[in-house]
Amino acid sequence: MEEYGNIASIAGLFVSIAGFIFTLYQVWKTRRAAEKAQEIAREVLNRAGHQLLTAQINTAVTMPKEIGNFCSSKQWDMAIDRCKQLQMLLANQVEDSRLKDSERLQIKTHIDDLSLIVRKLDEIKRQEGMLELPQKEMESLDKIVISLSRIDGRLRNKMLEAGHV
Amino acid sequence: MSSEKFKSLLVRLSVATKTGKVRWEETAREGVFRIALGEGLIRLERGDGDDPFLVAYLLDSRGQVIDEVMAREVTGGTMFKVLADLYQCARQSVYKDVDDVVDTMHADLNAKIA
Repeated sequence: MEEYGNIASIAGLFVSIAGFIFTLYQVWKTRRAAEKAQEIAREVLNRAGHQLLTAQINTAVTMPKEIGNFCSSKQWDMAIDRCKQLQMLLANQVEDSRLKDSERLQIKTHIDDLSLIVRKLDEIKRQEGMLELPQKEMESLDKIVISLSRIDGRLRNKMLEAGHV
Repeated sequence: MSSEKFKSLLVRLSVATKTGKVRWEETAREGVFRIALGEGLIRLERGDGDDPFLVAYLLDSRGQVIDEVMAREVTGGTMFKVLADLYQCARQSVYKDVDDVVDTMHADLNAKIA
């Protein structure tokens, strides 16, 4: 009888150990699943952030041309308004970590150039004699388009490579 | 209201520009120069007319003016001298850049026609 008792104790011990191991395995599995879910959520957020940044830069690329068109048709208020929109759009993206340092620097200088263009447009509005945006400022708008197009291209390529489309 | 730190940065920048350690760049506006350092930008401008002046703006990464130093020629003073010196150096550094590009093009052309 005592022998059966011992066997039962040993069996009980094994069952307890097995149970403990099973519990540990379940904890590990649950943690693993949670980590994977977090990883997926991070990836989804990152993908959405990348797509948003690409979309914003893509929108920004079209704006200097619109500013140029408003200037050609002497719609100074519209040109100023669009410059400020573009400034704001760029200012919202400039700290994005997906941009390279050199791209961030370019965007900073574009924001500043747009301030100078706005100032010139204000002067034009006030002076009746000056009827068009000087060549230098127009060239700056072209430079902004070229620079933003490059950034846009790089971001799009990265999206394609990562299958984010 | 300009901080002493910004003024001292401008003095140091003047020396660094003179010795060719830093490079200024052109902006969207004629006669306005800019340099990027760290998180910020410095824009240097000259105002002509009846009351000539020089002004240096300190801009943050979002393009906001966070500090400025202005000096009028009429009042002169140390700061006007610093800014005038800096303006001259910045201008030279911008055009030196152009000269350097033309020099490399000359060298390339020479190599091709040699």
